Amino acid sequence: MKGSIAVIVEHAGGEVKPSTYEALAAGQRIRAIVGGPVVLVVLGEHVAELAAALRDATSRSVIAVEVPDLVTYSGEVYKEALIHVFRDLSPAYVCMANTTQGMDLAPGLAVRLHAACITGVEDIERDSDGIYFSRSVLGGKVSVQARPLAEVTVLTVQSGAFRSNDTFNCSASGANRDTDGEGVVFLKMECVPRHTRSLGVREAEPKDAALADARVIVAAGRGVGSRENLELIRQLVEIFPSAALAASRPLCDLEWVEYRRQVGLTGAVVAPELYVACGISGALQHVVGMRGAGFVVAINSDPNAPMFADADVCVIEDLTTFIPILVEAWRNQRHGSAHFFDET
Amino acid sequence: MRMLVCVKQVPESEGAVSVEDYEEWIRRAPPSLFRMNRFDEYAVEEALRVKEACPDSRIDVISVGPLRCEAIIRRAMGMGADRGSHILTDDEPFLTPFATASWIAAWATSEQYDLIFAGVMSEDGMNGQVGPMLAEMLGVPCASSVVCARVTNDRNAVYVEREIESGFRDTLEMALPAVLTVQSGINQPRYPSLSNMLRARKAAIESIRADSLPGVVPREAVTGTSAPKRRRTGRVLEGSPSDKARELIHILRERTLVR
Ligand SMILES: Cc1cc2nc3c(=O)[nH]c(=O)nc-3n(C[C@H](O)[C@H](O)[C@H](O)COP(=O)(O)OP(=O)(O)OC[C@H]3O[C@@H](n4cnc5c(N)ncnc54)[C@H](O)[C@@H]3O)c2cc1C
Ligand SMILES: Nc1ncnc2c1ncn2[C@@H]1O[C@H](COP(=O)(O)O)[C@@H](O)[C@H]1O
Repeated sequence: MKGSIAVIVEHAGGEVKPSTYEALAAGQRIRAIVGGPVVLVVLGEHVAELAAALRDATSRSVIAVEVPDLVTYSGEVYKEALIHVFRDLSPAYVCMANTTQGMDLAPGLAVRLHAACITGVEDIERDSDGIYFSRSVLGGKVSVQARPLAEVTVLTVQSGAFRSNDTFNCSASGANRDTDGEGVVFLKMECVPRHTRSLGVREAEPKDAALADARVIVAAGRGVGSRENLELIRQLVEIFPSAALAASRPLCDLEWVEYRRQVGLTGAVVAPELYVACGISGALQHVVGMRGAGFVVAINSDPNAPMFADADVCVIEDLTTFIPILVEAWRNQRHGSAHFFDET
Repeated sequence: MRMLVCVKQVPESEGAVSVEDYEEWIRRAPPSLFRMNRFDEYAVEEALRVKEACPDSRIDVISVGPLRCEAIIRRAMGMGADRGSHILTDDEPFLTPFATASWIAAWATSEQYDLIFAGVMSEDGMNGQVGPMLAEMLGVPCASSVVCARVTNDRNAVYVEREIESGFRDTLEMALPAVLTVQSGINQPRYPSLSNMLRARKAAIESIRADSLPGVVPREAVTGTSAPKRRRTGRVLEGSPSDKARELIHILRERTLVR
């Protein structure tokens, strides 16, 4: 199947990760541009039922690679097994999600396949020169168009960038066991890791609903500048009903704010009615955690901050001077001083 | 232990950046607008901690880029790295990770490192590719997004924890030599010390011209830049700070979002 589009399935505990469907949607987009069959590839121990469920849910062909003892992702084993599968499949495109798994796997796989490697893909289009992929650089300030120069392209798909029209819901237990075989190719492979020994996945930070119930989230970024300035953010929280304080990753790394209040790819995904981003640049890894917000206000001193592209209201100000003025304005309006309403 | 840390110089991202003419902008930006990639500061710090735990270790740092990159090589030495090397390229803002990794691999092959550190991604390129590619080119294992690393007592392996989604960590042991890409939060990078900085300022940095290394055929190319897509209305408030404050309270009150 030369020229096929392979989509790597990410799964854990018998469930397909939703990011897989975004990678699939990107694969479909490539298909619409260059053609070729889309094939899902799922690796692991006891993946037969999961493969059948995927086939049922997506109506795509599935290659199920049964690898004994492969319980969780292993970069070494995945690369080894995929190289083997791709010898026959010889895909022109390999799509996977830009998750910690995809980021770990894609570059090494691309080297082995002599392929182009384009990570964090947000859009796929074509022009007279052919297909190209858009991705962000410089923390999201600039978008670049990348073109593969090799015969094979490995790409990782940015979370939230591709939505499939269908909603899939599939797990191993939901497979229709009667329609076995059809559309699923089974392979069995012994892949023993030589350099790595998996010691399993453990929970480091228990899930916490600190941000889930808040109507309003006020989030602080590195732009707050100092631990003392966080007090300003706390004062701002006070003007909102049912509000919670959140932060970008750097503030959690510095331990100024607890990890459970981190929003983003490696933190919480939130969808409050209002999200107020204070001194947050708007890197994709942060923004994917708050795109579901109803209304977004961004306060940033840099007029080019990418956060403004994800905001309904943009305030270009130094937060250390602006937030006290904002809290003051709220107090004045609240106490009904009529002249403050004049201009608005 | 022989260690290598890959450090990249990146433009300070705050402030004006020309989107339309990004390549020209980079070429003309003064050296003061550049600094070490933050994830690489964590990588240097982690190597220093391994050295503290394993006496008789040596830390080399390497950077690929134009002349101005020397500043961050010296900064890494100021933090405590022992030796600096520089793969000198033309002023090219969109070096492909494949080219960068190929050149570093050409350098590292002859040096027999036990442990190589890179950042999880560069803040400008945002590829997250150089570390894992380098590992593949050297034929050694790689762990990415590392938030904990401990070399075993026999110094033959490293125990690592990789940060994965939703607060989970993937734990594994890897035989050395190996490549680790370091995620933020793993440590608090130290500041360069005065005595180290003085030593670093005088230290010789080995410079290798990239075009003297085996040629690299690029596998992808950047053919254009544009402003990022807007996803929301992005109404910009105008006037004095108090004008903006009143306007904002008004907007929020209309939506019954303030008390
Ligand atoms: C695999 C991976 C996962 C990640 N996961 C996450 C995640 O889950 N969540 C997350 O947040 N990040 C995450 N990151 C990090 C992310 O890439 C960014 O580095 C981070 O979001 C930047 O945080 P920031 O916006 O607070 O800081 P910066 O990018 O440093 O931005 C600070 C902003 O503050 C502004 N500013 C400065 N001073 C002022 C002032 N006085 N007044 C107003 N504005 C000011 C600046 O203009 C700038 O825009 C991840 C990175 C990787 C590689
Ligand atoms: N030009 C470079 N010189 C040295 N190291 C680099 C260079 N580019 C990238 N790296 C290393 O690779 C990591 C990931 O970069 P990237 O693949 O560009 O996201 C960085 O954190 C550095 O450790």
